[in-house]
Amino acid sequence: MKNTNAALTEAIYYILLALQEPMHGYGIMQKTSAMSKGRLVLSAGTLYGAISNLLEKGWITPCGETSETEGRRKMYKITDNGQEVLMAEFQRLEELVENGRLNIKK
Amino acid sequence: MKTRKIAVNWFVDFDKEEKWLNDMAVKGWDFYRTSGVIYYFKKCTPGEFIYQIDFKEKKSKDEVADYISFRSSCEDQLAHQWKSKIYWKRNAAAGPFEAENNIAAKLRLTNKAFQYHLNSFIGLTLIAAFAFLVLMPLGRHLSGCCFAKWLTDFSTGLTYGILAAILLILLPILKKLNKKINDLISEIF
Repeated sequence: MKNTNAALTEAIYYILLALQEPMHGYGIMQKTSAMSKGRLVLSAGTLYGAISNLLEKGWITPCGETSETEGRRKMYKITDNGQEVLMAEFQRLEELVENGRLNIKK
Repeated sequence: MKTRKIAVNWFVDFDKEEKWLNDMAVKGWDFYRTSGVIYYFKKCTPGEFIYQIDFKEKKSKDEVADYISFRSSCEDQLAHQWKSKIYWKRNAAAGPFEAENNIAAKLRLTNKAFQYHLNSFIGLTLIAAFAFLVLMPLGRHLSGCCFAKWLTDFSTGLTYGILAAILLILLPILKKLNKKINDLISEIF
């Protein structure tokens, strides 16, 4: 599926950030919450929908399961395509911050 | 001491149903099964669990099983499934299902509820149309036969009953959910 130039939602941005290393769904929820200092709490239901969309777009891919002792959770990792989208969004956000820094009257 | 409880209730509005289940949990009653009208609870520590009502949107059994498996692996517990409704519970100590400010998540759940009621609306409309356009004329056509009067009365009652249910119950809830969806969208943009 082709990449979109539209801005990513905060949830998608954080999920892609969390998947800089292979991780299962619950790990993504915890990491997202930790990175946003508890501000962004993703529910499992929301995360499932987001992961389904990201898999469909080819931005992430499954990469095995955790061990039986960890409950056989599906693992995911970001793809090259997903990494490109994340970098493009990062640059867009940097531009927003830079323009804010230059133009907001303090 | 009483460890089980049965309560009779009926909801069209899933928000109210969810609130009622959460209120019961605060009183120390852990919901575990329903038949749509009769609700079964077992004793728990007051406030131990919280509940969320969800709706199946995946069509195949495998997709639904995958969804349930995924959520179960994320510390949500499947409390019960009834028709297209999925009742989730989790330990209250683990925090809420969704952050209060997660508008996209609220929109997703409200949209699923809207689709659930819309499907009921379409199904009931088709049944009413069948009763009105097929059964009723058939009853009249068979006049003279002992079965004819019963068929005419039955199809008339079914048609009006369904129309009343649609007008008094389903349309108001669809309207309410549609307004909620629009309100949530306006919060995003």
